[in-house]
Amino acid sequence: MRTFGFSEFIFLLAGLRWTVLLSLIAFTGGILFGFLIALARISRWPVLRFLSIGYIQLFQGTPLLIQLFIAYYGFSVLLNLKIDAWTAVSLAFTLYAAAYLGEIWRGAIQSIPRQQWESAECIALNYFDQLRFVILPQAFRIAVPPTVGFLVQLIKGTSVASIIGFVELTRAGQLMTNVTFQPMTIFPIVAVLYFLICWPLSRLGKTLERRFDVARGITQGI
Amino acid sequence: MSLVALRKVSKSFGNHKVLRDIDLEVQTGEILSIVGRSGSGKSTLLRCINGLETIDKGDIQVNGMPVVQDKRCLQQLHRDVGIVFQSFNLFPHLTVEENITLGLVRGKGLAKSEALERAHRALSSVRLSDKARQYPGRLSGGQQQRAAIARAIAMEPVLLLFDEITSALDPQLKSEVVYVLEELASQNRTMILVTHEMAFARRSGSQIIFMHDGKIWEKGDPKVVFENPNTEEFRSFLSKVIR
Repeated sequence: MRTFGFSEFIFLLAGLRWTVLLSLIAFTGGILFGFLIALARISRWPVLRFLSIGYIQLFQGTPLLIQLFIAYYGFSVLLNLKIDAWTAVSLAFTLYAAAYLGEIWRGAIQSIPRQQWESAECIALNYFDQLRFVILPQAFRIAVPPTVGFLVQLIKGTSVASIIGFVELTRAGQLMTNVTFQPMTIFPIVAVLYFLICWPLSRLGKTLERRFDVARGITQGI
Repeated sequence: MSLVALRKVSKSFGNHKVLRDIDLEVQTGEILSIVGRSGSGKSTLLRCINGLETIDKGDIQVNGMPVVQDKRCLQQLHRDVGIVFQSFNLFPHLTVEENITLGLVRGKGLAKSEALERAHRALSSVRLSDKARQYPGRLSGGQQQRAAIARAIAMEPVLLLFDEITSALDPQLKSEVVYVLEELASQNRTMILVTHEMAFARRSGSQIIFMHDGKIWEKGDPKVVFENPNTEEFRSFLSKVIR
């Protein structure tokens, strides 16, 4: 039987690398796709609004684990397409992140007073410029804290990917436990590794929030 | 031809008729004051003139073009018509200067340098040159409203609309904004104001209308109308406003 030592720790770090990479992919993909979802959600066209609401409801109303199963098994069963664990988890987490980020940003955009849209329209800006120069910069400031908060959730959420055999940090911990039988050594270390990533992020979110307010001298209610 | 012409304009919010058969003409160089109690439809009328509200019946022409709900038409209308709101509605994330140049560059297509020049001219005309680099949140209400006026006049509109621009200000700040209004009036600008500043309407206005329940009850030269109200409604309104 092995005991937990340096090489086992390195194995955990290797798992951590995949956790970080998967989070980055899901977050980047989620930002891009989620932005489109948010725009569709506030669109003047009912069809786009309807589709985006449906999408958000679907992904917020079903467990992430089931979404993972469907991404992993669904393609091979339904489309007869071999899909590896990497592609499946990347896809599932991206779509999942897009639903949540889209809804966060929809809320941020809609929290900007209607008068800001009107003012922008009245200085002859077109819809796209109204969004780009007036609404989004203000919505961004509001959206940063919940977005960072969601990123932290997402990083912890990637541990679910361990269930379909994707060897990220949690799965690496399980594997090492299986060979060393030292769960109470390994899992606390795993927890600390997650914490070391998530905690600075939370702090960053708070700092950014404060920096925006101070720099712009923004008071409420304008 | 009139710069602004409304014919039989009507509008309802649900069952509530806010505008009933409004006929109105404003010539270039005129200053029209719209007075009346809140809920009389005066702000809605103003908002219809620059397309912020749709109308149910009738038609509106501004600068020879019909006001219709079409993206291109409205954008052109907003290049020609400036508006200042009661709640200032400056963009809080932009400096005063950027608030002004945004419309000039993105709305009117001016070069950055020309936009800046115009912004500074507009700011100096409202005596706010020293606040160009400030964010609106750091300014007083009166200063914010003057910045909003600068934003509107920098676009060099053929028509300026003012929607109760002094109503959110305390008396001292009010007077600094009224002072700017007086100056604009002396420059022969065409302006339509929804206002409670009766003294200004009387002194500088060339036309006044009194609205009540979505209709125009009095219309004419303010000097005449104030002295000889034709309707009981206007008389009672005046007795409450002017003490």
